[in-house]
Amino acid sequence: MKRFLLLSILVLSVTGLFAQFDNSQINGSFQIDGQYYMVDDGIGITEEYMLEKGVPQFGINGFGKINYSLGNFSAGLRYEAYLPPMSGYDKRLEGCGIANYFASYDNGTIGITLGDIYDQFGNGFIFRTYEEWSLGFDNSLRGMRAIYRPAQGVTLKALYGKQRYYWAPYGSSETRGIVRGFDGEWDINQSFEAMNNSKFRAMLGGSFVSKYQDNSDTKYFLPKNVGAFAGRVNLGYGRFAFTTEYAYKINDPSAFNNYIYKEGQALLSSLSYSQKGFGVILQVKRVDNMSFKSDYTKGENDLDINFIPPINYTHTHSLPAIYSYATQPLGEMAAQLQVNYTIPKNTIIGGKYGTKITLDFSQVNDIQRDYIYNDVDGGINGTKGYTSNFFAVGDDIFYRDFNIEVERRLNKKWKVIAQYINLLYDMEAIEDHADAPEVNANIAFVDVSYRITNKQSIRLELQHLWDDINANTANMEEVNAHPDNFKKRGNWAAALIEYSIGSKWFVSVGDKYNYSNPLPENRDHYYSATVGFIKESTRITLTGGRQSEGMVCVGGVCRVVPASSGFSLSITTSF
Amino acid sequence: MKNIFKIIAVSFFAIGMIACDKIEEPYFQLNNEVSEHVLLSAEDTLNWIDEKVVLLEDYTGVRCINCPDAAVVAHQLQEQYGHQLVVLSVHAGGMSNPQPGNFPDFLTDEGTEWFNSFNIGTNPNATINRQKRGDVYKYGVDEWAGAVATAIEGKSNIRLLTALEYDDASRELKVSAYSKFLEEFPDMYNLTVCIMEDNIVGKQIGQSDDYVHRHVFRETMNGAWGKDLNNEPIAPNTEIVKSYSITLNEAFNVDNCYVIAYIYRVDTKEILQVTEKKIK
Repeated sequence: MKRFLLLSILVLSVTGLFAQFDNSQINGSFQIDGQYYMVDDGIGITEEYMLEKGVPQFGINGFGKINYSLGNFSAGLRYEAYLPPMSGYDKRLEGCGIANYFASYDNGTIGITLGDIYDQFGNGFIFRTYEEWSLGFDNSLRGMRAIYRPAQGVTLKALYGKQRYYWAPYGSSETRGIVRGFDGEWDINQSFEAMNNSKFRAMLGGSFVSKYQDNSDTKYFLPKNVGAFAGRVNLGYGRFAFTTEYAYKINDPSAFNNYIYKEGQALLSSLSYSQKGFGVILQVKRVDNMSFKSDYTKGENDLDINFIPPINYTHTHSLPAIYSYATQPLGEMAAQLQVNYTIPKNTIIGGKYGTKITLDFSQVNDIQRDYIYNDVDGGINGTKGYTSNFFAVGDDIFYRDFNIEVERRLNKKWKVIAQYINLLYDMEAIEDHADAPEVNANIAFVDVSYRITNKQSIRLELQHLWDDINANTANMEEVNAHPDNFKKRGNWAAALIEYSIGSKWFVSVGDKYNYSNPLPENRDHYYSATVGFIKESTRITLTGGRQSEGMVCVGGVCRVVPASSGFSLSITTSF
Repeated sequence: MKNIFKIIAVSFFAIGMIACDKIEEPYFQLNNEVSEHVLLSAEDTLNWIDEKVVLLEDYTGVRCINCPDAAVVAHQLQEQYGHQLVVLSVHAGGMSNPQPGNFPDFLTDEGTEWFNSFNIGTNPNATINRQKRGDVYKYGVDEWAGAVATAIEGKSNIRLLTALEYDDASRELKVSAYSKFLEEFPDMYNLTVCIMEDNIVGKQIGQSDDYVHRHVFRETMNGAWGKDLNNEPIAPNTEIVKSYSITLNEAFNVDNCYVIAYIYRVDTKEILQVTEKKIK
């Protein structure tokens, strides 16, 4: 009898366990990007160039991610391999291993996460950790996070840890700092039943982040603890929405800001109206000395604790994307106005299917500064840096973009998208090219799609960029003195034709021609051909040809892509 | 619910105050560097030899019972190795507080910073050329003899000498540290220049009130972590001179004062060469 009881308990337990596992979920994704680099004298890629720039013969970036969840519990890991990293990716990525892992429990009231954490407070002005594969960027926080929801609509978060720095270990001998943060958010509509379905919406939030980094600097008295505060309000009424966030950071002298002791401030406000067929958004932003890193000696995008959101139009077509804006954490005064309108269908102007029009204007200026110089070496280092009136706009324009886009379906088979862009781009400030003249360009593109049959379609894309500095107008003395500043200047023409078969196969052929570059040796064709296969969540593409030097930007964070020639293969899948 | 919010708001505020270091001016650290150098004498030039000189930093305290015995060990080692071993008694840690008991106050900001940075913890303990064993810098008293013997072995590829100028009336002390790197040194190196006062008579726990405190670290001339000697790799046979000037503290007896200078590697903190010279 006893044995029977014991066996029953054992069977029931095992069955129960399997029953529990039946409720579990596993999902994940894999991606491999590989590129074979070839010498191409036509675009200046010689063996010496490849050696000098450290371009590998074959670069491969890959990751595999698996997440497991069972009820309130979840865990996952991501394995990465850069063997070696593709050209344009930081060489410090070279290597392979488990780059990310976590275990989490969340029952709706309490949540605990141990391991690598991705999170964001508000707009990210004082804290945002995220991963962006196309940039080779990952500033995850390895440590712990606790979430507490004491009442409906109230969320409190605390986190603590050290950021990822390529493949560097996380031990105490590593000199990068420790980050700790706290965020509270109150969604008033969720808290009060009477407001659950109200037209009026309100959310309040506040956060505090501090970085601790020991230092034995011999030149400056550096703070070991640097704290930053932020407060945010989101209001909405019917179709109107207003959001605003203000952030303040205490003295944070660093290599990035030239070791100045000025406090940092940021403000982002947005007012929008949206209804079916019409929307308008107006945004203004001020950023003043808001680079916030967990190591004061680092530059570029290394160990960023925070994120400065861009408020300009993101161009996806290849010619306008040549001049993509990278946010300037040291100072920006920016504004953006965007209007979206759909001319109704079945009207004379709108046509049978309606016509979408988007008007966008954005401009980013520097802030106004009155510098303070020290007596030691005449620089601003070791001083408060400068004073800056909060509402004053600096004279230097970093970026200006006016564009109008029209999208119209002509009939069941034809669809057209056309856009005109007027661009001003300060190459010296954005790309750090000393003495580079600013770019004043007009860009136009037309994108025409034709559905041949239900299973076949063809798309033609034509683009043109008119640059104020080109073969006819350039000052050749200046060009010859600084040739690097003119590598992509001049007029461009681009064309792409893409043929799709069913929902699975596509093939495209394209060319970009810098026909009017001031320097004849830069007047190159960048041709390429791509074959792609898509089935459910799997996508495979094979591309051969040339790639021009440019920038890949996501959210205002950019990576330089050097010119290259060769073949690339990309495989992605998820499950 | 209201109490929870109050507690959270107060905690938030309290954490915010603790986790923010507001720095007031001056922002630049101690910078007594001067451009005019004190010339080396002919005798000093001839004395440029590449034997190793080791620094033993004895972390001690006026209220430390076992420290006088440790000081004896340090002194015996110095007698054994002569000018090749420089001893610096750094008063830091809880046992160097002058109170209770009205003991002499030899505490310094630099000494406390080193005590914390090297995780000394208790007295007596010493660092020997700030060399690490694994993650540990400190050596117990019974380890000093062996550690010094190992550190002193071999030759040094850095020559280091100081030339001094002192004016009795103004108490102005000028020190020029001359260094010569005999081979390539690829890393970054700092120079620290200290003032040491020997034979200070004062109270020591467990001893008479006329106890003689030896080799007492008084202050640095160029900050706890010194000043950078280079900002790019050093080529072979490079000579570097750095000079500093201070007004010597009135409380120091200049007749018993010495200048100790040492060069260390910034990333590991290891001391590579030391020199000691009496001011008068």
